[in-house]
Amino acid sequence: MSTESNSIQRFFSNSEGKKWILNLALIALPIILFFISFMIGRYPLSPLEVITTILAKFIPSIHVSATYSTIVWDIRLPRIMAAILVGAALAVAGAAFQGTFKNPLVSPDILGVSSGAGFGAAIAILIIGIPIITQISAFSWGLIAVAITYFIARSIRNSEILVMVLSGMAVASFFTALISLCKYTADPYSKLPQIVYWLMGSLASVTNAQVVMVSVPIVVGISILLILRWRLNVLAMGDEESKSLGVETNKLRFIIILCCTLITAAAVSISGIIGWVGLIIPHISRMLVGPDHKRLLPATICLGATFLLFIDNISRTVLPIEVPIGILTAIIGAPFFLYLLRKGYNQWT
Amino acid sequence: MSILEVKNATFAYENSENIFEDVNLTVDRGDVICILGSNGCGKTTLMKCMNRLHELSEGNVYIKGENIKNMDQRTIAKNIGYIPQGHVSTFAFTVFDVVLMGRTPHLDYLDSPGNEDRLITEEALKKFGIYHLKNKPYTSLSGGEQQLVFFARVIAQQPQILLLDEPTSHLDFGNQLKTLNIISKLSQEGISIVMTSHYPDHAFITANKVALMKDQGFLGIDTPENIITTENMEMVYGIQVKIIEIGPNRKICVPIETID
Amino acid sequence: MNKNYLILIVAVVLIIVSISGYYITAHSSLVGNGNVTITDMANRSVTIPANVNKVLTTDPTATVMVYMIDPDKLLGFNYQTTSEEQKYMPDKYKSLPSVGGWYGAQTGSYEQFVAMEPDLVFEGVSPDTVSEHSSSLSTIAERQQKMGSIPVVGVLDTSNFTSFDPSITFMGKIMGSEDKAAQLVAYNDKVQKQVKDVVSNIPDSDKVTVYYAEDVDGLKTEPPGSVHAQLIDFCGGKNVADVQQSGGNGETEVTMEQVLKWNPEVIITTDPTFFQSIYNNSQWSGVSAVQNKRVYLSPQSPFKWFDRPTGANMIIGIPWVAKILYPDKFKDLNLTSEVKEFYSEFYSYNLTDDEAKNILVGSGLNTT
Repeated sequence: MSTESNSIQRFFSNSEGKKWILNLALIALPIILFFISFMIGRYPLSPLEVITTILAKFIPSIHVSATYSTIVWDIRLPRIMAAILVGAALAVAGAAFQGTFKNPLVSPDILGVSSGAGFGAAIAILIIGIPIITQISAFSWGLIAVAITYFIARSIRNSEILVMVLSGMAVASFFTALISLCKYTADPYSKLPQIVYWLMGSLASVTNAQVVMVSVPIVVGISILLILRWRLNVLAMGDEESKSLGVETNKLRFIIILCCTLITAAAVSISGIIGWVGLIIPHISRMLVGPDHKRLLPATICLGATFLLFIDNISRTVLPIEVPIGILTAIIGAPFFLYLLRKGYNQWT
Repeated sequence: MSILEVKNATFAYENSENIFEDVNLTVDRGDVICILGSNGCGKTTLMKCMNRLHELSEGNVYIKGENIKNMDQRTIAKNIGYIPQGHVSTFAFTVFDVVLMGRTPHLDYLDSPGNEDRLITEEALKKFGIYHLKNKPYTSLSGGEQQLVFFARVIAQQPQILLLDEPTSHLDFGNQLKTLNIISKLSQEGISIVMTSHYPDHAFITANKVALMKDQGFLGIDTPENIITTENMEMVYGIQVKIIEIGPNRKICVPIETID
Repeated sequence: MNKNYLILIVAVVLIIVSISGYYITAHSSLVGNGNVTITDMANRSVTIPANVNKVLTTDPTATVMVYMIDPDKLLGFNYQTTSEEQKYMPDKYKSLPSVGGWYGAQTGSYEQFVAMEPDLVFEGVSPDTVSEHSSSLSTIAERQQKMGSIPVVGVLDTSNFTSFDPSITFMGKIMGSEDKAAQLVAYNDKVQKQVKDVVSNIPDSDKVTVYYAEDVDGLKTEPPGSVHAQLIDFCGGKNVADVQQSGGNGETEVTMEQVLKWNPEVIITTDPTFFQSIYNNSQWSGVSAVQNKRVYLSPQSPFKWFDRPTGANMIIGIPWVAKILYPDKFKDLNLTSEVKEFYSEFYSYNLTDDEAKNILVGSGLNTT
């Protein structure tokens, strides 16, 4: 059936030197973009002023206007950190799921985490409407949705992966319907727009506190996935072969699903629903470094963070008003994906 | 002590009839055991029970005297290597990475392969003459080359038993014989092999024991010369065959006519 | 195993950096910089400059109030004003930029707001239910955190003309324009009393039936009780739309059959395209309001008189709707002079007699 291999990957993997150049580029990209991101935005701040503002935090003798401080620490910093965390989280979860489910067309939402989180946010906004509660509710319901999917699938004895995917589809539909129910009963002047805008995805109102809160599950989840990345290769060969190689497939799959769900739910809880990152970035990474998860997972971290940070920078710099980031990732992501499809299709063996 | 022993094995899927009942099989060191049987007689299922991919409904399997029910998947994998009948590929791993996966049973849960594992992988690649293909995506290889990759992987596992499910089915005429020769060579190195096959002829070439499977059990287990007879072939496959000796220690089995 | 330890170490370091980074960058919540401490309408203590000269708001209804009290202080609108809307705006306000906001649409960009350097930002706080109130309190807290040293001043209710007098007074006081604010409050009370005195005696069965037609096809509407159609309820009309209030920004869809069944005596619309086409539209010819030529279009500039925004701009809509529904009862009401006074006092625009007449005739009224 379809596989992915192309001349780009062969070019880079044939020579050790080229491998190292690529690795370096992948690591440097998000770091450079991180620093550049502080320098751009609608508020006119020169790079020197940005540096001065940052230093003022650590060196008491430097004074800088309170407005500059607000721009750098309260407006730009949380957005940049959130973009990096969310982008990396969604991309890694996508890659890990694609390997676990032996299907390169899978995204992190496949088991229902986004729909569950959306419902959690909607019901919290409907009843209470305080951001921290909304965030916790979104996170919790994201986990609950996947738990339902997982345990239904496991309760069917000897079921294949396909059963879990179908179960995920059903659970996702169910929660999406619940979201619609929330929208329908919501007060149209205040609650409903809040719900709608939350669902469209935005990094504009992320605070530093939220960034810290989600960084824990995301860093922990990604670390575990990185530690297990060799085993993911084996799992991606199929259940039967993995078992014959001594892998406890059910246990491994459970851990991977747990980690991916943790990081996706955490990401969605602060950013709303952002699509395409979890689907496209693993593909691009695979094209650059190949399917070996030892290289693939770190590559997706770098590319995912870079991609979302890049898009968010565009979102907050080019336009005088906020456009939900979920819209932008789709507008930019989908055509790019079609382009990759066209380019790569003939090279699929 | 036998390397692998199957005692009173019975298996059925849930709410179904028994696929096979009360099957017994002893595998000694260096054996090449060929299980012959018609489509759907359960030989693949039986094989998968031997390395616990399926759980027996009744009966037990012993590796060097120890019951596999008391072993975890990893320990079983250190002893038994398995090449399945078909393989659906999704991701284009390099040949080296695929063979390296054979080292998994020897790695701890949190480990990644180390230098020693890489050396063993390279040895395995060289043994099957595919070292020059090590950086190619395995999905771009021919059927015969891919088969060699799986052999290399299973050898990297360093098992004492190999379970091969129809190892020649999708290979061309020449590669079939090459594979059978590999199997013979491996058995001479002390590895015990259990294989299923659709070709009685191949049993003559490489097996020292043949088990005929029919009607939920073994008709018998004996040397190929003794057990592959025209009567038995008629019973197992429902066709008339002719068995001819073409040289010392070499018989062939040729299909002649169907029986209505 | 080495690489795994490395991963674990990096993970722990990242988490520590994250937490300590938070403490480094956190600072005590600044509630404004300036030298006057006030209590806003959300009971927050806010410090604002002694002289407030530059103001932004986060939603159009509050923006309208600022425009009417002290437009020179307004830095921008929450949406792009059209040329139609700019018709009766003084030139200097035509070019005010759109900065987005946070009202139904969440189009506000924090950097944009901060970049315009307002002295303060007005934010609407919902008074309705307890949960809504606490929710808007946390919203305003978030707004303040992002605005940093720019004070965010909470204002209760800018949408219901029967209850937003205190908000007008408050905003006037904050901006240092108490006189104008008091004037607006007085005007509001005056027209309300004028109309209320007459229509409160009308029994339910005698009330004129009204349909509020929205959008280019006229087949969207608001039910009675909706803030968008409050003028109908207030001026003694009977809103025929027996429908559920719709999500988002209102606009419930209805069918032509429903409208024909309701058969309103009066149709009010805010959409010029619909208004122009209705007398030629055979589908609508069966409706009583069309047959009796009682279809009316809300004037558009600088803000509509009837809805969107649902703010102080609707004050002039009170006498207008009253005259539409009950021309006989309001024979003595001189709309032309009311409009001229309203525009010159609160929209900074001196209408000539002709201009005023044009506005009224264009809205469908034949008598003034």
